[in-house]
Amino acid sequence: MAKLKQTLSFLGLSFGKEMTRYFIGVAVFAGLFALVYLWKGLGFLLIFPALAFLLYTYWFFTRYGAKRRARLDAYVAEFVELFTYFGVFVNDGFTVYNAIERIVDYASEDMKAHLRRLLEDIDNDKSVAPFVRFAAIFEDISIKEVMLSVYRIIDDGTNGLYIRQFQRLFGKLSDVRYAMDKERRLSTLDTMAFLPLAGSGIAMLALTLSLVEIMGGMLDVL
Amino acid sequence: MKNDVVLCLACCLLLGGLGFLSTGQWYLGLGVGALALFASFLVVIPCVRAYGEENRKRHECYLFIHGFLVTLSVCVSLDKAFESAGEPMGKEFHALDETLATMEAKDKVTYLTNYFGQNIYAMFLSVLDLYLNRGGDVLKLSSELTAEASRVEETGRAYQKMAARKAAGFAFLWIMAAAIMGFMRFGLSSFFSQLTTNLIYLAATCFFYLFLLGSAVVYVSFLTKKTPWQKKGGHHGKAQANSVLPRP
Repeated sequence: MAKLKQTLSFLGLSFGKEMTRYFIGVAVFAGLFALVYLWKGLGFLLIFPALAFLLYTYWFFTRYGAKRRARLDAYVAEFVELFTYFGVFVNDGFTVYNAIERIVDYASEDMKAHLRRLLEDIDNDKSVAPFVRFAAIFEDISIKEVMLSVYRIIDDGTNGLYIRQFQRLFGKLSDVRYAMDKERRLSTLDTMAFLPLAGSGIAMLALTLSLVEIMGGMLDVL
Repeated sequence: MKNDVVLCLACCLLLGGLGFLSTGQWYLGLGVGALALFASFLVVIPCVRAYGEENRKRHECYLFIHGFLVTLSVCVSLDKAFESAGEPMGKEFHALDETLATMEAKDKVTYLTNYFGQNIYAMFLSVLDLYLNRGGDVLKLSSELTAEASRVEETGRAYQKMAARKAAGFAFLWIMAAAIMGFMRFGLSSFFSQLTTNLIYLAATCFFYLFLLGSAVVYVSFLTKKTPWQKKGGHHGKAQANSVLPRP
């Protein structure tokens, strides 16, 4: 429950409202169950509303995880895009602070707030802490490495070893992100390979059920 | 008529024919064919076309950026760089280029943001802006950009290749499943007249075709990451928003 609350708060959703929505769904399924019971009594038909209810519950609670993952992926994608700009600016001789100031223009509203906070933190604290705090909004550990290399550029100036280190780490992060994105999309397609198999199952089931019924009819006649 | 339309029409005819063959009811065959036509023209063809266009634009964008930057580093002339970068582009680009004949190269480059609709192009405009305002070595300045553009292109191409292979596998599996329906007509010919009047059989067969069409629609929309109601270049909105040259 604590994890669910945490996910909901990350997504900016209210726990109370979401639970109300869930219980409205539960009430609908309970009504459906009652209707089937009143119509046909205690029988195998009750399996259908029960199965539908289980599917609904599964869908309801797993979608938050999917939404959270999608948002985190979008954050990483934006980070990669923004820090490509950052690399361009640093290559052109901008200081780290100015380069971050410039990339704010290209960021989404959500990321703009994080970048502005990073700039404020840098103003107040010249240590590595603001960079670590900024990296903490991402789950990817390699972003922390990239942010540490950004901090090291401040110490080293704009012509040194740490710019190359930043470029290497950033290149690696970007490679991994694109590869993961591709793999995720391909694995979704792999998952859907079960659909034709399910189709074959339906065809076989159609054949079996109808043949059994026809043969049953023939036996009755005999 | 374009190839994709011909292919879809052929598939719809085949499905309708198979629907008729497997049920022996002309109205069911017609219904399956009509539903397949709807699915093709409302979802499959628009999604596949949008996907093809996106891939073409991504590739053209990659070629344009590389061509432009390399020529600019050698000639230091925006006009020559634009001319050279435009050479390997497709018909649509050249047609657009003709309408922009009176514009300066810098304005043409800015104007192309809507044509390419790629985030990486907005990045290219920023690099160009930096170069025009501050000077320096354009190749060094754009090293991050070109690396990122290569990553985008390589990933896109690899996905395209793998996705096409997986789609072929998916289609093959469905052909095998549909072959089972065909088998019922010819393999069980002595039972067939009874099958065509059996309600369970007819309902299950209709469900099979609905499931086939539904799964094809879902597969295409996942493969192309497109929906028919998606606006053209919808997810590149940021690229367009950031496309103003010079930057603030």
